[in-house]
Amino acid sequence: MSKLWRVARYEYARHVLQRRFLATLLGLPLFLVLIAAVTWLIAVAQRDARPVGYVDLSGFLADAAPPTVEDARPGERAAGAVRAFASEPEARAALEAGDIQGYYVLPVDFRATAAGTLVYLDDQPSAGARRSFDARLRAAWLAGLPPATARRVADGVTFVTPARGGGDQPMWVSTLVNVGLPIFVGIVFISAIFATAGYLMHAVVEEKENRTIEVLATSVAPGTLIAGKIAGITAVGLTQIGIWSVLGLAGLAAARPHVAWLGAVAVEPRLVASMAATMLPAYVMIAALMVAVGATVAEASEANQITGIFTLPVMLPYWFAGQIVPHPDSPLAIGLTLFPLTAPVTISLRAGATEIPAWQMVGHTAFLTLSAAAAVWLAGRAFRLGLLRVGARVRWAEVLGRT
Amino acid sequence: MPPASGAAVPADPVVRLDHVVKAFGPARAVDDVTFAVGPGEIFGLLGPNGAGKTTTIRLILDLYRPDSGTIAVLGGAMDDAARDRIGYMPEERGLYRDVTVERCLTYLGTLKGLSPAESRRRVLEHLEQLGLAEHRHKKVKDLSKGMQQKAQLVATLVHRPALVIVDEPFSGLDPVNAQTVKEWLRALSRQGTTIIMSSHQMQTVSELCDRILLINRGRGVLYGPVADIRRRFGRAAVRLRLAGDLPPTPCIAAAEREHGTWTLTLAPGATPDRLLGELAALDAGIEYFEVALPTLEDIFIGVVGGEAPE
Repeated sequence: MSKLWRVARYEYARHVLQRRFLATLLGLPLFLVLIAAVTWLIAVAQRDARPVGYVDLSGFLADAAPPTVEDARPGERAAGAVRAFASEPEARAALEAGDIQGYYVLPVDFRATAAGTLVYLDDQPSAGARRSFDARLRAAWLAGLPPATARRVADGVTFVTPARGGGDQPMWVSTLVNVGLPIFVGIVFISAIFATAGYLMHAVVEEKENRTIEVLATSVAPGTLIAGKIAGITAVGLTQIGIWSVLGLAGLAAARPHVAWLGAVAVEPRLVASMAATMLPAYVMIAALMVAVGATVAEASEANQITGIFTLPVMLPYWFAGQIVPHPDSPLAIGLTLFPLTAPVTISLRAGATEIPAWQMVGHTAFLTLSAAAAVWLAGRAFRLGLLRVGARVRWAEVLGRT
Repeated sequence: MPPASGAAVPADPVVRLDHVVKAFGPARAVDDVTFAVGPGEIFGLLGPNGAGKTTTIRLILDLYRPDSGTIAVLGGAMDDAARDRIGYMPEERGLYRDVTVERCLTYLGTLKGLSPAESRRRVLEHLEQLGLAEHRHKKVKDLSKGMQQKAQLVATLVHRPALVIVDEPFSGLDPVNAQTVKEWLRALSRQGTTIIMSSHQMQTVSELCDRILLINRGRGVLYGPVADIRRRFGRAAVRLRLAGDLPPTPCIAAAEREHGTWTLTLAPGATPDRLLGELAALDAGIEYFEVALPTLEDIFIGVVGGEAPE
């Protein structure tokens, strides 16, 4: 068994068996669940179940039967009833008494102008309440048409996109999967890499401080030692992402029978391949840079400050997400794709929004792979220069061979 | 003084340094050092703090690369095969503190080419010999300092190295543990293991080492067998005890008596043999006669302080 493998295996076991690994492993999903729960609770707490009122001076709504519960969309169903008032003072009194969220006034010439008034005190009626009244209006406009035609006009047109591997998925599901999922994976990846590479960096600093490094370096060539550590920590990261993926898929499988649209979700293999081709070399590159930092600093606190230098460019594309997602083929998006440190997040933002041209995929993967190799080389050099300098920094000029 | 003058250079050295120079900035930590260590020797690297002993050791171990000169270890340049045949105990111990003793030592053994099972077997054997078996599941940081040093010794020897390099091995050890380490080193030497030991404890070096290199300010200033060096720096003096008074003879230039023992400085041209012959002829009642050789400590202080004769 090669020493590289032994170092990798030891580093893997050393980190995976740590409490902080379990904390991160379980912490992120729990955090996401917590965020979802808090969001839901806030939505429930803010939901206004009071009806919205209307005063129909035109008699327009009197001509149409109100839509049945079955006709209503989910949001409308949740928003409660629509309540009619005979006069505006009556509606005003109900509003001031807090019985309704607001009221609409349809003037006498409403049928001709389609213009009315919405009255409320401090807060607009909720979106659901407004949708409920809109549904009532739609039903009135469509009264007299054959029921099938009326339903078709009321529901509008549903477009679907063909999913790879057969079947169709609604466009909003497609957007969620193709745009939302890569962004989510990008966030998970960044969380995983900075957590695990951070362990590695601190482990190197600690090995320097307690002089273990001196013993290790007399057993294993520095390059092999570094490569083994990076391989081990990459495996730790992959384990973390793998477990999160399994948990996520298990959650989806459990939810599928209860959430109809989940049945339409289909992830394109192209998306998975482009993410993997980006994330793996990016992982190695960032892990190696972390080792280089760990090897050059005098103490752990200094390492945390220096990592900011490459944390910022990695996160930078999120600042431009507003430009990249709607314009995924813009020069900015392409430029950030080809720059190794910004590539992982940029790819995650672009992957679902556009079909990234092959030359860009090949180019950025090649740049990333070369950068990962250069980072490993740099880490080996920094490690060799820094391994015996306890309490003293190694200057980057030395690492780069300028002195 | 040329470092290698008068020193017996082993025919088939395990370690050989030729005119090695290593500088850190403007300071030369090792300056034109040349020496060789033969198979089965216990070789001492001596010198005051900051003399360049540890840098020399790190050069041998390929932790530093020399600026000039050549280093051969176990027959050639350092590679993985050579690393597997070297055991190194640094001055400041280096073990994973948050890992159990058994796991840490087993891992270090596997990095020296042992299989995990064999490494573990040998670790447990050594821990048993050193009385640490019951502590094998403790984390390294929970061991006493003496126990940590013993554990470090196991890490150094678990793979049965051909060359052992120990940097200040007795630093911080109590007399009992120091004696244990000495016995281990002697036993290893008897088994043919070559040992390079850096120390500034002269008495220990004198007891253990066959040959030494004294380094001062990065340069080798004394090199050779311990006994030869002591003879070379021996003043023309003898120590003796007599049943009666000290008779006057032409061989004696000066005499001092302390606690019944005479220390005699010989006259120019006189030798201990001639003095012994004269005293015997005078029937002086010799009870004890010893050619007085300086201790390594005397030589060390003299040379490093620039006081010793060439």
